[in-house]
Amino acid sequence: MEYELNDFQRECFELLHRTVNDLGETFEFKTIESATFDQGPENFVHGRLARSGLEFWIYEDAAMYTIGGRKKHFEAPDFKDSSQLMEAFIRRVAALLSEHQATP
Amino acid sequence: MQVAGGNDVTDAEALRQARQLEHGLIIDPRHPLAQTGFGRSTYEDPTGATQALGEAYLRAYGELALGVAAGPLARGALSVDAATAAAGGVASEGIIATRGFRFFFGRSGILNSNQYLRIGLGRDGGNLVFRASGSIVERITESGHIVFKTYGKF
Repeated sequence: MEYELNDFQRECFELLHRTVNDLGETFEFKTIESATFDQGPENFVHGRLARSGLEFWIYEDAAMYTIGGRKKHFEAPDFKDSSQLMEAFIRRVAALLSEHQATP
Repeated sequence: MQVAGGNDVTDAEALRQARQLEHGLIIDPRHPLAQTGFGRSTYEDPTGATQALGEAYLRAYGELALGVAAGPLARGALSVDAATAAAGGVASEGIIATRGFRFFFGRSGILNSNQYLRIGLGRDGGNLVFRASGSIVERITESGHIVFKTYGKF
């Protein structure tokens, strides 16, 4: 089975990786998983951060996170293009991680 | 070909290992955390309200699908699937495999592809769900999703 990621997924994960490192967080785990979504196979990145417990998924054209029972989806039709989606996702995750760090 | 561990591997395996090294990712679709049915355990529907609403919606649109199937627009493309779906109780897992259902609710279905309100199949963590999303839903919920039905791992 091929575990290939598309450009969006690679770029998004790389940005996330950088953001996580910059904020001093670490990954508890990060995997590439494969499943069938609406008749077609899809690979997606799934991971969780160690300290904050933020869990994330990066799909072929979307992303989402959950943290402390809250979650947020970022889907393609809500954004002009994939770069905008990626930016919104990363910004939100960065804000949450900063918020988490600031909480005693 | 030899990669990483020094054992003979196929090209596909070499590619997989190269990607693993490139991304620092562990490739394991059977990771225990992926098997927990995250969406189910975390986003339970204690009153069953969203589940009931989702099933009612599915029933209503199953009938619509049947109506469309009878018209010239969908002749030959939807009729058998939509009729089967509507007659079969609509809310079952089986319906998501039908062409009629996908026409409306699939990944790029006509009710599942605009920015204001999308109703249809989506992903929620590792689960396939029937959900509503879009800018209208975002005004109601922080998550941007209202999950009507969880089908389990997609």
